[in-house]
Amino acid sequence: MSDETVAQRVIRVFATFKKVPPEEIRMDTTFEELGLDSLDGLNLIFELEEEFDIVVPDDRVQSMKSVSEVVDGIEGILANPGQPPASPAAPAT
Amino acid sequence: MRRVVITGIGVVSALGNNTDDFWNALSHGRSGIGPITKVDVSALRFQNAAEVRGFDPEQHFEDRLLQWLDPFAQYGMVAAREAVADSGIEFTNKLKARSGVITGSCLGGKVTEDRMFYKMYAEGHHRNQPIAIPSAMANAVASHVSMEFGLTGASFTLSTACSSANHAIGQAFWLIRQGSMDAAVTGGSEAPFCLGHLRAWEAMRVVSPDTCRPFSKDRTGMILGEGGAMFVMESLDAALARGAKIYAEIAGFGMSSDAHHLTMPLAAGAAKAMTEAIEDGNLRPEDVGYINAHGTATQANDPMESAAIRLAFGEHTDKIAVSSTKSMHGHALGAAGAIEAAGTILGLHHGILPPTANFRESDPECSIDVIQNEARHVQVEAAVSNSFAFGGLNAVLAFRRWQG
Repeated sequence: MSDETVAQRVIRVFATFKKVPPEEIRMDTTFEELGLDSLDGLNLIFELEEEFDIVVPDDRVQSMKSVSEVVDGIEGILANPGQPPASPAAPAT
Repeated sequence: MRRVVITGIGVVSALGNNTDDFWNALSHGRSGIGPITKVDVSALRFQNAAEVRGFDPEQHFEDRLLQWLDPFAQYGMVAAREAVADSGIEFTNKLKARSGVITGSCLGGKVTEDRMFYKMYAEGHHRNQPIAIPSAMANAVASHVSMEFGLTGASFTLSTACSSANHAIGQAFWLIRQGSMDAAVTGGSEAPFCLGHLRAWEAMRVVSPDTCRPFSKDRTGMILGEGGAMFVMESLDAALARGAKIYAEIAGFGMSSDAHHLTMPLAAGAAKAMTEAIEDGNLRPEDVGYINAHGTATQANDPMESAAIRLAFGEHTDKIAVSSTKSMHGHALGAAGAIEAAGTILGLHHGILPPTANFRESDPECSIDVIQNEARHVQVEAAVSNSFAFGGLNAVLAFRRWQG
């Protein structure tokens, strides 16, 4: 295990994804500032899921639009590791 | 130019494995969406889909043929057989040479490929069965149907994601209209239910964990479907000469590309395809009384499509009834346009406009007249069926009521 904090790991993933030095990624950097559209954002969330070996639920993705929001979201997921994904509702017919 | 009509319909879908069962469910607003049974999806973030049920391939195909048929080919062939039988068309030697098979499929034999790759990568097998390549090729339906009926005219397959079937049907229409062919078997089929592919959809985060509620404010995404629909299409003169039953005239076809974004649709592109279809069919916007919408129930599509309809139809928009039948048969990807064309044609034929099922709450961002949950018994003169694909490729069909 590394000694990196969650924030450092998130910034590393962002920097690798954008091919920029980590110093260019700040906590308040937004997806928009990085020029990430919705599809890029999905791809980045996938990289973060791989990095942390977690599942980011669809509804949490909506609230991840900046580095700090991503860090908050991932810390929340890591704090409840045993929590299974919400079971889907039965379809209304 | 010649006029072109639909004289035979065949459907395999979550709403039934023949046209009568399909239309009965569709016109009564019954959804075919339920828990996925063909794949273990317990670890996925979505669990529901519109699967074909009660379909026994062995009832339809001898073993020797069946071994070459991925489920998407089985659906396409069964639908094609029903369409040909329904049309009563007699493929004489002369007509066979002037008839082709034009199909759409986004995925081809994905189920076959998934099984093959699992055996190799997970189970360590080193050899593949020789069936894999011809079973998985996207043109399998066009080839098998061509062989079964001996049709030797232009036959091919188009793959434009969710617009595949509409692009295929449109090509068949134009080839007959311009005199390059006299008849066609055309439509689309799809079988997306295998784990590898469902995992890929999960990553797109557009599939609903619940059900499909197009244009409803509380919509939560699309629901995948499967199946196929095929049509017999022929020149009006040929159909009249043989006294064929005519369901509807295919009047116009329009295509466009958004040239914009892989997954974010553009209203101007969708509107352009609708306008081109209407103009191609010598229709006026005010002739159109019904639109079978692409209506995926994603956050992105439905407001875009509502805006696109208004761009294309202007003030007449408020007089057009709109529904997305994906709420019942799911989003069958490359087969979607064909299944929806079946609903549109039968709607014109019976004077019944199928509803949007699962609708709960109007969305101010979708300011169109959505047919909510119950069909409308209205005879309209013309109808439009929309398909818009990932990648921004749009294909729209326009149909005119046939008054026999």
